[in-house]
Amino acid sequence: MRTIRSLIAAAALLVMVTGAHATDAGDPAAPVAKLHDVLLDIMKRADGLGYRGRFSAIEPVVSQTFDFPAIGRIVMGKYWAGLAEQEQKGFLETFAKLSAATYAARFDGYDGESFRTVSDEKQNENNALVKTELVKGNGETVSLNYQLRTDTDGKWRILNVVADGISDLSLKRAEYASIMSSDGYPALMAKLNAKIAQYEADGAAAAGSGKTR
Amino acid sequence: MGIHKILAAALALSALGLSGCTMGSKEDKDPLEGVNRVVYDVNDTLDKALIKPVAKVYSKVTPKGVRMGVTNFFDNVSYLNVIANDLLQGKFRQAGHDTGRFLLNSTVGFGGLFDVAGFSGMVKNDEDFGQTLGKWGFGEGAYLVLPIRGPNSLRDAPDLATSWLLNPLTYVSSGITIPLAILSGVNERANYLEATRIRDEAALDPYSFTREAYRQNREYKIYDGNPPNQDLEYIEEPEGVLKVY
Repeated sequence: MRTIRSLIAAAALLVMVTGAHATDAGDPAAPVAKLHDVLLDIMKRADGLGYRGRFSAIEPVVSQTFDFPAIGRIVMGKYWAGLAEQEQKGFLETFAKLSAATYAARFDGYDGESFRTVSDEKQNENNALVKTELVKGNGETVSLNYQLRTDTDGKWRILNVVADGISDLSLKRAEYASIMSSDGYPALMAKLNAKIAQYEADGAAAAGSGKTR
Repeated sequence: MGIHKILAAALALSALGLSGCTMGSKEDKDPLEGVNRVVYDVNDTLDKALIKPVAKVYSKVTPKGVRMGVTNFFDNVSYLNVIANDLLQGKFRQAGHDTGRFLLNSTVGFGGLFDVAGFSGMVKNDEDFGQTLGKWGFGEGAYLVLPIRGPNSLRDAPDLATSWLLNPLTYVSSGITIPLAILSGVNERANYLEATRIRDEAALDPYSFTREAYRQNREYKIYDGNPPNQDLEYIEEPEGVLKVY
């Protein structure tokens, strides 16, 4: 009996010690959980943080958990290879900023929401699909499926979010392709920056009026 | 004219349109983009000037319960189309379930005003003739933007006929149907106020955003929430391009 108990204690200790490491590299659900944790946190503290605070809280987590270099190639599709290195870099920075800004603007209050992991499957060595649900306060659910792949450093990072069957990257790819083909790279960058500025202005206005949506 | 003939005509029409498009690449499913964008802009102008403001007033002056009742009523009268398409897709158990649902709501639910079935835990299904055609193997065909109605496709357009024919209100005098159609439209627009606000906030190019969202949502519904090709979504191409499928 004693030996079993100490064995369990030792195992628990092992999990505690190695847990942090294991979740970083081995478990595709880990980055999703990390993202969801910070989203819940900024929702609950939305009013106190304000838009700026929410952005600062979510921005580092977004840049750690998403695979932006791969995302850039996906959303720009055939236009990616035609961009100068400096343009690619500029696009990735702006895109990452817009992602964080969108979360900061959208997750601006708490109404009893929670996240639930439905399943977590590795499709092969480098690809995984983590299915989750956002459960709203009234019990309605939104399915959120995360597609992940391992980066060059072997860590799992998020590639795409599919919300109720609608793929975020496919939407953006369609939009960006349309803008790239008709107006080109400078126009696309101007529009991305205008969105970020719009979120900031709306956030400031909400803070000024003393309420969030 | 029998329903058979109309369905056959609709099928033939869609087959004609679809055959030419299945060969095109995935990127090229919007051969009518020029016309579509014009209709989109007209719709958008009309929406901003008239429909949206009316829907906003409507949602302000009516209590939530009333809007819910209106939504339930129109959902229920359109439910025969769901049942018919259950059958066309060979979902016989679901057809039985949906028939029960329709009968329950039409009687105990006061002609559909109350979603009694939903309240007692009966799932509400979403089927239409476009999904049936998808199930039968038809490709989506050219994307269409219809006046006032908005996003559609060659594959989904025949549903306009089936849902019209299978809606009991079609057979009521137009003196009643027309005001009801307007109410239905305004109510539906009111239900989408939040969704379109988010779209307007997020979209860089609202036209392509809407088109892509429409397509994916249709795909999602055809496969009842489990589209097969969304599992493994990208391949690495030789020139370094990643593609999402």
